[in-house]
Amino acid sequence: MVLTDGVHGPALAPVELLAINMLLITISFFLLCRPTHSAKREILVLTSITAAAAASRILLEPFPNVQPLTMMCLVMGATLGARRGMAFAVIATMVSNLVLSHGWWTLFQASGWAAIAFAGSRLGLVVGNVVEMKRLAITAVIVSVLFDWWVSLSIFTSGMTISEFGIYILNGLPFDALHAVASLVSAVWIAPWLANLIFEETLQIEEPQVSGEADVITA
Amino acid sequence: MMKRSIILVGLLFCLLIPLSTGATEESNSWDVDLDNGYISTKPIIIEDQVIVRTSGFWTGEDRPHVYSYDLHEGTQNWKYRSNTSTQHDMSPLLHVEAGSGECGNWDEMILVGWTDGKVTALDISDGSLVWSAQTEVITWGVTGAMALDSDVVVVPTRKGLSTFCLDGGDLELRVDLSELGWRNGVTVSQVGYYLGNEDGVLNTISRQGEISNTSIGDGKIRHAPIETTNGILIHLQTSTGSEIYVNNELLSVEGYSPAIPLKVGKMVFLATSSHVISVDCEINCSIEGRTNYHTNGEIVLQPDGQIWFPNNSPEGGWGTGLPGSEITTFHTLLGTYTTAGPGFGTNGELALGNDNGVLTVFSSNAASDSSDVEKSKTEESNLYLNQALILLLCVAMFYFQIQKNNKMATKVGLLILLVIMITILPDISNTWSKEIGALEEPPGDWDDSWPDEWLGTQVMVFELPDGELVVGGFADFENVEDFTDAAAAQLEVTVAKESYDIGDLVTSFNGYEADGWEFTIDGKRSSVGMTEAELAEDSVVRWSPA
Repeated sequence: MVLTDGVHGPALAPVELLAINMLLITISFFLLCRPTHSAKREILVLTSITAAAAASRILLEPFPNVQPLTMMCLVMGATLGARRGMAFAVIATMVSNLVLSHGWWTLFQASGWAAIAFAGSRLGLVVGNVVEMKRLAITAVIVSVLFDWWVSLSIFTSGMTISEFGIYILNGLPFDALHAVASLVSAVWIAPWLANLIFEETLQIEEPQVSGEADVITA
Repeated sequence: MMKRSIILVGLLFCLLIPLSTGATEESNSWDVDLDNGYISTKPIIIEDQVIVRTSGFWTGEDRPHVYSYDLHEGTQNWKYRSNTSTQHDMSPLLHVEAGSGECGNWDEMILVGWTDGKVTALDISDGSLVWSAQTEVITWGVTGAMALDSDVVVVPTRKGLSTFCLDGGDLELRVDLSELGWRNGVTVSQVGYYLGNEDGVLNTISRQGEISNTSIGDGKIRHAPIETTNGILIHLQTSTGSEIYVNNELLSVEGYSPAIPLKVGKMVFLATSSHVISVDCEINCSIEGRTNYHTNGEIVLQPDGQIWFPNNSPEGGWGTGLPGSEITTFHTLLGTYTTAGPGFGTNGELALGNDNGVLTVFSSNAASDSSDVEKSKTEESNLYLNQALILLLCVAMFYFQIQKNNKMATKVGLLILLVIMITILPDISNTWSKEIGALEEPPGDWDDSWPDEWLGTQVMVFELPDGELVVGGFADFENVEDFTDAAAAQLEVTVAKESYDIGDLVTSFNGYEADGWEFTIDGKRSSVGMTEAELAEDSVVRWSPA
């Protein structure tokens, strides 16, 4: 007479898994952010944000197509430039897919988000540490839908007709809409904070690092 | 900025609160997991015993059992194992009081029909075999409800009907019929026996073995015919849903997968995957009530007059109430797909079994107490927390507007939109996908090399790296997931799955993960997951590496 877990063995609920994931990733994030005043600060900041981006995909896995990474790619491209933004997109995709599942689609996802980061670098979405919110919001909505369609190409095989692919795309429209709204929410909630964080960190990197000997000379 | 980040994270956590908290285990209830089996027929409570059988597609050393448990303690009294029944046993247990008749005397026992064609009589005190009789097997043996007729048990067999003396199991009557039957229970009446079959034919068999028959329609009769004052009522399962006939006259066209109807006085209760229905046969049988509800399997009368309908959906549970009025759902802690009706004791005890093979028994107090706590409308319980979260966000948005902080109000408003979209996405997506799916006709996936007996049945194909495995001849599976589990068990293919909010996904067959697995139904990719993908009676499901 025991209370059992069913015939398929014990399994953690998505919420429990999510809580564990969030705890581990949060710890990792803060470990990577500290110490902040080191010579490797720039790479630590980039690594931390990349880890956070990858974590956001893993954490939000229970919600289909809620992808803050889309907005983050736009902001990273806009603040750090095309090269770093694209690198960020590719690394975040690969790292998160190690957990979520890695395959042919990773190529499309990585290239899609890299393209979004490139677009972010060219559209003037962030000036200094100020986000051009209207422009970012519109861009986030559009690129979210385009990204979904691009990634959908990964299932297009030689045996698939154009009409079948069209039906596949039509089937995904509710998910595209959710991605667009999620990106919009990410833009208004996270983008200003993220842009400001990157601006402040990179600003401090550019400031002269005063050493003890320099102090002596200056004095 | 940091505060807003914390708020965002907090709200995300709010989103992740489970939609149902489930029931806590009552001190005066108990559960037991009957390993590796479904409970597809209702448990029966006889004095201080709960007796239940398991069903499934059995492979290896696993086999079906009949178990007896102490009603109050949950300790096992006895169990009986069939070594030869390997198919899905759907024939309900039949309790027989001690008695005597022209053919002899017998003690109290439990009669069990098996898919290996056997009928076994088990001693109710220790589960020992009293007698056993054999009927014919054509893929399956006995799958329908048996019935008592004086001193004999009437057994609907795969292709006919047999009666056996309750004392010793000697064959008293044998009638061969030309059509196959499945889950076709038999009804005992003054004129003899009524028995339907898979060709929609209703047979009337006299006690001397004379047969007369009538064709009800193009469909399958998968229940014991219901005798009313207006003629025989049949709920015919058809390829497009179901039809209710009374005295061979069409009364109503209904939904898919009819449940096993129940007659209570002048009323007959029926159900499908979409509705529960009541038919009043007092004057001329007519539809009296109808309520939206997803039920299949056994409809059961509670002694206090309530009707119980198994909820054959992932949430599980049992709907209670009367068609035409609100149906509330009674949940147990380990709810899942359910087709077995509940068993009731004379003192208010309640025994419940589901497709996970979990038997839950409530004592009289627990059942009545928990009814206040656990009875809930499934839809309401799911919506409650979502609505609470949306309300909370609305209050937050209102607060920011009062503070003239339009920026934050807009942000919260967008969060509300996102929460609503996440909440409604599964329903929207399924509805949308079905609409889109209707645009495309399936190309078909029949292979002429397959046996003709599989025509019109459900067929499963696994395209494994080491070769293709095919099995057919299945019936009555409603979705791809259930069918996949059953077919894989028959072929001894191991299936690994992961659960997501959008349903279960197969991660590997026989350990082959590939880049994921996808399925087609009749050659067409499904637009929904395997849990939601519906099957017809002649669907061909094909699994292949993505």
